[in-house]
Amino acid sequence: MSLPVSPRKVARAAGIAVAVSLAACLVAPLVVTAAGAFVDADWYGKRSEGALGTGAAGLFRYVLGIWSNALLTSLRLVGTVVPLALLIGAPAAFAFRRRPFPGSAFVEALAMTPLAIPGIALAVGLLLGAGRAPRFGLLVAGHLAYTLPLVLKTISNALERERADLERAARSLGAGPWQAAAWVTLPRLVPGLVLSALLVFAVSWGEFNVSFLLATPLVQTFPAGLYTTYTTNSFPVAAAATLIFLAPIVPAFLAIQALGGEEFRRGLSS
Amino acid sequence: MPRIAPGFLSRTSLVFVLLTAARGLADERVVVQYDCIPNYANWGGVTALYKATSGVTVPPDPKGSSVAMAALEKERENPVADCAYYSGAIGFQAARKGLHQPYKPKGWEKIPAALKDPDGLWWTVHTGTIALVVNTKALSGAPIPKSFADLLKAEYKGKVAYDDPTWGGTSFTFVYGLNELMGGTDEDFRPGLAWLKKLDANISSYPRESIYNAVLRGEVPIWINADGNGYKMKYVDGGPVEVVIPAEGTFTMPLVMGLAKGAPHADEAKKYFDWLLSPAAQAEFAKSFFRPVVAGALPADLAAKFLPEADYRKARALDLSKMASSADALKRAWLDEIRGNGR
Amino acid sequence: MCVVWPLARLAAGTFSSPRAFLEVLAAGRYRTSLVNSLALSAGAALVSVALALVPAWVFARERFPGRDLVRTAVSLPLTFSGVLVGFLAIVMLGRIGAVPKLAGLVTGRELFAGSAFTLSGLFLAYLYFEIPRAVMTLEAAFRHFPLELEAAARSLGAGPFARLFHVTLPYAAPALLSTLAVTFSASMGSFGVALVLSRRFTVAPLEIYTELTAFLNDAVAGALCVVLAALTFCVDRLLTRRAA
Repeated sequence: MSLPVSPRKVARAAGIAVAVSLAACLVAPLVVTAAGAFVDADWYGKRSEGALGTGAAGLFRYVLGIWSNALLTSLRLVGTVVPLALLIGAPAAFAFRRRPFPGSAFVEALAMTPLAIPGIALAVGLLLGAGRAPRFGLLVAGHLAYTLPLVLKTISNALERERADLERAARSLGAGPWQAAAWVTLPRLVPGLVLSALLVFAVSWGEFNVSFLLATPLVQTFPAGLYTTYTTNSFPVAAAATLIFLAPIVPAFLAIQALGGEEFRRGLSS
Repeated sequence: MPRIAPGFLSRTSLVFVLLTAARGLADERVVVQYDCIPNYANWGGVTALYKATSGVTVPPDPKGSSVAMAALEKERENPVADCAYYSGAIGFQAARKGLHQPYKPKGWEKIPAALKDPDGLWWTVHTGTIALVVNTKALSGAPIPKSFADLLKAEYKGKVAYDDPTWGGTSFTFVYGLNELMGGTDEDFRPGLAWLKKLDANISSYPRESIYNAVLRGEVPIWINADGNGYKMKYVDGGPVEVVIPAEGTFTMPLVMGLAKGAPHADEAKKYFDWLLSPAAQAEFAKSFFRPVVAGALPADLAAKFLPEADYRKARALDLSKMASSADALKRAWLDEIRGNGR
Repeated sequence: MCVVWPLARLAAGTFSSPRAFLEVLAAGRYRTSLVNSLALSAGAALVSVALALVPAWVFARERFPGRDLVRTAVSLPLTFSGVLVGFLAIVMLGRIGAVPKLAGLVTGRELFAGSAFTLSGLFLAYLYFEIPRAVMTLEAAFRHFPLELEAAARSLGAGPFARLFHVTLPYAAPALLSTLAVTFSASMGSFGVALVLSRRFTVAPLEIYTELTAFLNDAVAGALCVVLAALTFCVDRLLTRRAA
């Protein structure tokens, strides 16, 4: 018997349907949450924070009022971690790939280990070894531990796709080794660098495990503050706080997709 | 790629601008209080009022009483907090451990003797009473329980909750007091734990943090916690909530403040303490239906919303000193008996 | 360098009290939490990878309008912290969550109410942040999948099952293993989700947190950390080594 539609087409349609439904399932809770901030429907619980008035503006003002310090700390942290990760990670990736030295494979593997270690273990290690170290510094160290591997992978992948022969050509024309790197390879790495920056930004902004363990009332990140909001504030306030958290991430993600989702995906595999 | 570079540059420059701005703001005046939950006892309103009056920020902190004490203990060499807020017994214990420094805020005389430490190591800022906070709508037809004994009935299966007593002081007060009610003593926790084990069949969870909002929206129908939370749900948030003082009797709970030893911002913290006893602050606390410690600070209209005095006569005070002594042992016993292995 | 020092300090801190290790491995609550972590992570890894197969393939090999949008939607949860995922679970599956409400409207009975706080709810939450990870990792591998080999096998007369076992799986195996490693590691380290959702089911990160903050039991907390980290690391290495 012959089928009206080829099995291949059916499979393709079914596969796409599965992918779309998965996306819908993943996005649905976000939509529901966003609705909670803007639709004053009482359906998920009343506001319990006193005079907040109706409407979304009051909610956002309340969240910003209480958590402004945490937001600023998060911004400071991200602002510190992104440049540091790039400054340490990119040259390191370059060194590992283009100028390997004895033991570089070991160092590289060591730098990648945080991906296989639970965040809380690292956090406890930082806490116990902290002594009098400033909290902010510890937070930076923790975040770097998780973001450096990302930078290493992304830049390594970018370097792999770059043709080393261009650099060699430049050197054969008389350029010194570092000059060749700076003037030939580096400009071609810019997309990879920007992608890394976005990745580090997204990961650092949302990092919780380490940040929560290391938080003090003076030095709290916004995700750590979100925990208090989720456990002690009403749903409309929590929804507003969630939206504030998501606000920088969504554009960053769209930018990542636009730039080269390929790099991103490869950067995530072990 | 020219398309990307400007985006990247502007993003980084924005970040650096904010960085410098943030550095400037970080020098503002602060008081660090452990256990400063914005939506509990109206700390959000109180700290906002203080900021408006004095310009000093008291950032939020989610620690429960026991966690706050543990944190102070851990930071003995390196104090981070200026002060902490606890349920009475835990504050007493913290003072005994030498975690506080003495300070008698202005208005000290207004605090009844039983509610403060003679040396000023801790003092009550407001009080509550352990009660049953019941979301009547979430009961789905079951009658409102009137006593602790009622809670053991099968119809309340999965409907009762109290916070983990190893984290929060209110629940610890409940567990300790219940033990006394059931005939136990400071050496013998068995009567109380046996009863709690029976109750465990009806318990939905032992949350680590206050489930105020979960109760308000009906996730948890019966919450054993402070009466003030119930009144606020009923009168301020408009929830279908009733507060019940159990027939067998119940216990009052002072909520205390202590100034941490070696507080980094000790002078600011002292001024903060002074302000907390002022009429403005006490009235702000009253909005959360926790009874202000300063007599006469509870406005008449709010006082009228409490349950009648007759009910409150059944509430007795617990001996803070004894509570503090048996605290660790009782918490461990509760963990072993009730939480058990891996539960 | 930032990596080595805290790990070393952690190890030093815990090895100084070996008694803590015994306590960790022998005491009921700690051992149960470790076993729970292992079981939950393994389960979440397997199921999420299984569920990720079709979407990953579709993203890698098919073109359709809106693909980028769908892909963005699927990858977004990667940046969510555990508490956010826990919160979303409560929003959808709490006692008065969106799903029960919808079910109530449609069928008259509020199905799944409160399921966020059960083990299944916890598992679903784990899946929520593991599936995007699995999809993205698998997609990268599937992009380079040699379809020509499969076509060649077919032209040589191999039946569909033979092709599956002798061509497809051997090529897919490394990718599957490394994806399993990634999802397993992420689950083992997951803390926020359990913090928000777990009622009676305990996992290792929760016990670590409790010992550290409520009981000041640095030694036990540290020991648990080391054991947890060691377990995660070993399984991860095991899987990636076989993938290579």
